[in-house]
Amino acid sequence: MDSMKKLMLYLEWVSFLGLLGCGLWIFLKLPIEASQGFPQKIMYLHVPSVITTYLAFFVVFIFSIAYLWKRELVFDQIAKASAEVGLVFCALVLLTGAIWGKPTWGTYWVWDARLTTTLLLFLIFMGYFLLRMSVNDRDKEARLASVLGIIGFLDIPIIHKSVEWWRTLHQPSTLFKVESGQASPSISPELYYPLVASIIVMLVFYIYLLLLRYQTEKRTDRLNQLLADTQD
Amino acid sequence: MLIGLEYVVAAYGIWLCTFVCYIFLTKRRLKIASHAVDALEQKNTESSTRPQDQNNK
Repeated sequence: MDSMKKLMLYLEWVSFLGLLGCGLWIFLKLPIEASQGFPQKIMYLHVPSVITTYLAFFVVFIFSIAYLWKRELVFDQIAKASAEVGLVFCALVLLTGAIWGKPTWGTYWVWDARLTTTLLLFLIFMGYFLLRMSVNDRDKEARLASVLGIIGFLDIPIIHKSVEWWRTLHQPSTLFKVESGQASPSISPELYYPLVASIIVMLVFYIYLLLLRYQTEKRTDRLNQLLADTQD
Repeated sequence: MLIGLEYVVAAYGIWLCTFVCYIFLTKRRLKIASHAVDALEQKNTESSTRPQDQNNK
């Protein structure tokens, strides 16, 4: 078994056991939050998914710049793999947020700045894949997608700051709250630690998905190259 | 009965089902692509060694 397969198997098991452990902690050990009630448990899924989405699109941003600079196919393969995983997480952020919104806000959706800019991010990266599918030349596809990947990422700082820049229904930052230059999360330690644990586990899970998707991308490109050689 | 239980079940259920399906489909794609690559590489190796064999005869 090669080292990559070993690493992926290890990450698969760490993610699986980590997710299971976090689930048991959240549902069996944690008390029910006083103001939001039982639906607050959705936050342990929603917030880590948000952070993973940010990271996935940040990876797209970095590797798209790297591709445009060095023109190495491997950078585009990583960017494409991360964009797909990020898109899945982004869809789940919108869905879990909407499900949490119904019992808490009384509605699944409002055209609030945070929600609308997140939907915009999802649509930009849907466009990213439509663009890739519409171009036949591999190099041209990678170049155009890299540009869109860089532009798409610029929506993330807007999403993050939207709760400060506009009056929104969405609550301001609780985990990354900064007061007088110092980080001061506005969440009780009892609820804070399981949330941080969920974020760490979700990031490990993201790395596993990224590697799995990257392997697929590498193989698909090799297959296309072999088929093109056979036709020549 | 917990108030809002159905929302929590729906959120966790959708999240779990999405990733179970995603991992299954991605692994399937990887397996199919790997088999196809191996088959084509083997075919290419055979076709490149054949003319050499004929020359040796």
